[in-house]
Amino acid sequence: MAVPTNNKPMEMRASACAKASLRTEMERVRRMTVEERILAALGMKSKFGWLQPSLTTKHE
Amino acid sequence: MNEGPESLLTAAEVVVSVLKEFQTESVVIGAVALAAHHYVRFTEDLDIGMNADPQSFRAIAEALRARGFQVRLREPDADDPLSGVIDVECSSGLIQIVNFGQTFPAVIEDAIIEATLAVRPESPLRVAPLPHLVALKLYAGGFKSKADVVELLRRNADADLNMVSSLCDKYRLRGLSELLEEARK
Repeated sequence: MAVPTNNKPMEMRASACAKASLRTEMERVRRMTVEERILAALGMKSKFGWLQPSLTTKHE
Repeated sequence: MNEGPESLLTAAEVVVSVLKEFQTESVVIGAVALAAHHYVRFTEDLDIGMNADPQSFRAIAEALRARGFQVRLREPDADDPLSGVIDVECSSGLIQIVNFGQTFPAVIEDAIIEATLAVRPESPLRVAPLPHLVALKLYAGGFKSKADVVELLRRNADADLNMVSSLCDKYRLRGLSELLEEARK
């Protein structure tokens, strides 16, 4: 990523493509039943529990 | 054996039936209720909100223990915003029975009256309505709760915001306007 060279802080701004992606996700969730949504939330541990955050240090 | 989330729902239905034996109504709150209202995020537990006096709360813990549940009663100190929590450990996860009886009973009483959404057909588990969930999150405070409110409102563009605002005003809960503003972005 190019870092601004003028020492100005990066400004927060909304991403239109991220918003479009979120809208698609929201539409998908809308099509699910209440029970399916609840089971999806409770099932995330078994679905993604294997993910381990990697730790890095300056010496690696 | 670690069972799936379906068995956590079944265990929660048994827990609610035990609460009913004590004439205690309850509603599902927390992340499971968020999921019911279209905000699906990671959670490991199922939270049930209810009102009980300390003696009944202890008796409920004992009754659950007698049913074979592994139970831990967490009693509040004088400053606690909650009136106690019972952790019910199941092989499929944790059920937390959160008592608001001496601290904020109105939100649970109102949520029980208004709750119409069932977790699944024929289930005794009723989900707290969206305005009451927002109120509970504002009461809990903290960044995570605020983020939950923003995401919940973002995913419920058709929600009656006047109803949400008037409920939070009724309970004298502050901080909703900035979250509404953030949800609109």
